[in-house]
Amino acid sequence: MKYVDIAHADAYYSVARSAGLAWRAVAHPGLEEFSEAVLSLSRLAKQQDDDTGWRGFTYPARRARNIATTVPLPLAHPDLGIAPLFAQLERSLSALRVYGGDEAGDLGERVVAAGQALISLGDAPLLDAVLGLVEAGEDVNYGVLLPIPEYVATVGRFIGSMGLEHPIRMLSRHDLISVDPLDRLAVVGPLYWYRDHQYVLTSPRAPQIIVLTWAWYREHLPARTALEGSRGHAGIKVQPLPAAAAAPQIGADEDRSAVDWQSVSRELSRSSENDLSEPVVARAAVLAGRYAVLLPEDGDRVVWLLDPHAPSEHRVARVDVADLEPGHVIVVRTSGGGDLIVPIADEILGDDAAALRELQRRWKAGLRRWVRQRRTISRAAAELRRAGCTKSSPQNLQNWLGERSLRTEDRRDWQALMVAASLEAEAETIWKAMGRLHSAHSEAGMSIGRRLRDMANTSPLDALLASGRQVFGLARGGSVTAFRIEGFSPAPIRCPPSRLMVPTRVRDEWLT
Amino acid sequence: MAGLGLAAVPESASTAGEPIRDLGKPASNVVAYGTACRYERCPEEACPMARRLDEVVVIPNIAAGLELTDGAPSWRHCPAWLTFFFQLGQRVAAAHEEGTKTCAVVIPPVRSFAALFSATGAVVGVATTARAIPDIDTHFSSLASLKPGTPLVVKMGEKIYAARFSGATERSGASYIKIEYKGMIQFLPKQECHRAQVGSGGKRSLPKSVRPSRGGSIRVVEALLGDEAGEFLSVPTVDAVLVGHVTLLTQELESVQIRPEGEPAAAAPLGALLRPSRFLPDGGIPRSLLVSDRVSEFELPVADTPHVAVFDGARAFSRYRSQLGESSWIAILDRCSATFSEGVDVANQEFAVRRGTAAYLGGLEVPAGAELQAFERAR
Repeated sequence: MKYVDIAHADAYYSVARSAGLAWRAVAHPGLEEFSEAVLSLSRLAKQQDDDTGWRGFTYPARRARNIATTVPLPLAHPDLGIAPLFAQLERSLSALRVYGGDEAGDLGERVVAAGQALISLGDAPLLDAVLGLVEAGEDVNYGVLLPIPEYVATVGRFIGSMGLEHPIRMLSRHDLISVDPLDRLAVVGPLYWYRDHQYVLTSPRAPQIIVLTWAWYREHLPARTALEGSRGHAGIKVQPLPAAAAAPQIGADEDRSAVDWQSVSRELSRSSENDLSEPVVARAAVLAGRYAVLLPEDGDRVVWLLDPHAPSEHRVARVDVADLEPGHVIVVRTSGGGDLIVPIADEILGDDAAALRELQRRWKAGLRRWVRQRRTISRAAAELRRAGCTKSSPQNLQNWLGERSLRTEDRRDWQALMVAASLEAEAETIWKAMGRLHSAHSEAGMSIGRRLRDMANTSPLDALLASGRQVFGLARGGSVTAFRIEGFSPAPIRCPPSRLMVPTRVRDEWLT
Repeated sequence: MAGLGLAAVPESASTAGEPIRDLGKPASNVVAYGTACRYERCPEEACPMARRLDEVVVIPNIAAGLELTDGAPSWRHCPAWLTFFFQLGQRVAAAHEEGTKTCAVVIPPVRSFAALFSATGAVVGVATTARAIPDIDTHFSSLASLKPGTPLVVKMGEKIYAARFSGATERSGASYIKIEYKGMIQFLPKQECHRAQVGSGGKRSLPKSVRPSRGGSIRVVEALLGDEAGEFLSVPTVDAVLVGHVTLLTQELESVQIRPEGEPAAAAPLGALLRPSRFLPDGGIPRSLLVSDRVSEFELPVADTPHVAVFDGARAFSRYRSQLGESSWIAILDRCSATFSEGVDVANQEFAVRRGTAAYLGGLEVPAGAELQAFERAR
């Protein structure tokens, strides 16, 4: 949340006193044909008991439809990225026919044909509509709200290069919250994109709001009140919807595509053969830049939050994951899992870090091999105990196999572990090396807050504000990344502990 | 939509209900509460507010006489929307003082300053309507149940001391509170226990007297609260709890300076009126608490029941309202927050089990773009 001073708040109340919402229907036969074909295929897929085999086609088709209908760029523009999706669809046609039969195959061919025709036309119907809302010579503070935040910068650059008399400001829903009041705001619809973000209409930031919606969509009027038995209402007067077009009308319930949380969660929680630990409860979150991460639901569930709008002394704070909301920015390791201690500790260790980490990796890999030969953690723990490792237990053994554990407390227990890991000859060397790592971890733990604050206070945060993602390089070559959270999975899952807090790029088609 | 409201009662009309207490404030913008309920789902004969037609309390419109600045070079009158939140806090607090637990939920076009001014209004509302002497039995019981060592502030004549609670005892059939001060135990008779309040600050941070000077903040408070200022500045209480994003609320709190209209030489931070314990300068007597809504930080370090709990955001409202169940509630729901719909659901659930309407808020004009749900709580 950003601090908004009284003058700005005053301006928002003034806007709310007089704001009006109008509609502008946009028609384009080629895009309508493509959208209708994608919808027909989606309807057919929904009738299947299991549409898994269809998804290789339906997901990229929906993504192409979503981009083409919401991003005001020429349809053939390379930055739009739909041409590769159409190529992917063409390649997937035969598989679709195998899984879905002839009807699905025919519809798939219709989707591909309509999509390729779109590109060959070279039209820009949405861009034309956006530009058409400003008359020549009109001096107006004009903004355009795009539903997919990742395209804001691209479209802004493109329109900026057109040499318009008055600049047009491209905005995401995140930008709109605290934007300086505009004269006019075009909201690129359909409005189902804002179902969970109704404020873009009900907390108006411009006295003139024009919703650009496709002629073949059935829109619903936004609700002006939310509370039972209330007085007052959202500050916007809504004009009646435009008359229905003759073409088939498509409603949001049919067309809205949501994040495929099941696929995202499955991808994130995939265990490797090195995962011997008991699974833990976690929740998937989609991050800006088409990344996703698993956040812990149990145990140590504290993460680092970066608030780019907070005063410098409060810009970075530790928070419980229960306090996180979409729009918040978290700081995680750019690669690898776990918390931020490791890259900060490596920073402290300097040139020695790599060699020390290699030793850590070696003894854990050796121990893991030995445990796997015993088949179960319990059996391995019991055997270690018999070998003289007095602290051996299934839980402790899991901890030793994890990334954060560096060595045992007792040197004799350590010896038993090294024998098991076939590193008996190097036991003393690795013990000392792990001692150095331990000291660095302790120092990192004590200074991490200050280091992250320094980083956030001294680096320009433009990339983070514009795209929701920013990588912060550390002096010794490591890095941490700040990600804006876009949404949370409705259901928790179980995953190996090693998969927690690992930012992972997920497939485009699972998201929107 | 059903209209909850009652029109503001003009000055002359307020006498129709025979004010039971005139607080001695300027009579301009006088409003009344306790008159008939017009909410369509709440028939007058069943409405508890309608049964108190003769109870009318005059609530001074202090915000109307306020000028403020939040860093801008020029001062300005308190805008209508901030006046609304201030008055909302005042009225909810006044109603609570009269035994009515309110829930008021507001959805403004922007959340900024709404919770802060509601809480400030609540603190002022309590100060200008609360009975000077609380019920002795209740207050004594409240003190007697404290843990030994709890910090107390004790008023003796014109002076205030920081002390610690040491227990309760009986001597010759009379009840006493034992207070530890400077290593000595003092016995405060039950009938004088209102002189002790829960509070901290330490001796060094306490003023030597109730009115150390007439400059700065004190002058502003005196100008705004009149005769109530002395009590307001000398007795520590927790009349309002503000729960929310502490960093943001602190930023807002520290940015606003206020002064009474027509007194350009006087100025004070808004904190001089809200008086949250952790942000007061040395010598400050608290009247409110600012509490974080974060899971790992939420702490309600008070045994007393605040009159009003103000929740800045849906998260604070949905998580912590039950822990402040004896207080009246004001919730500010931010449409731009991801938890907005959760807050709306909570508000509508509470509304569904309401006891009655909050007719005493009917005269408040809801600012453009804002939505107000107000009712008397069932529990």
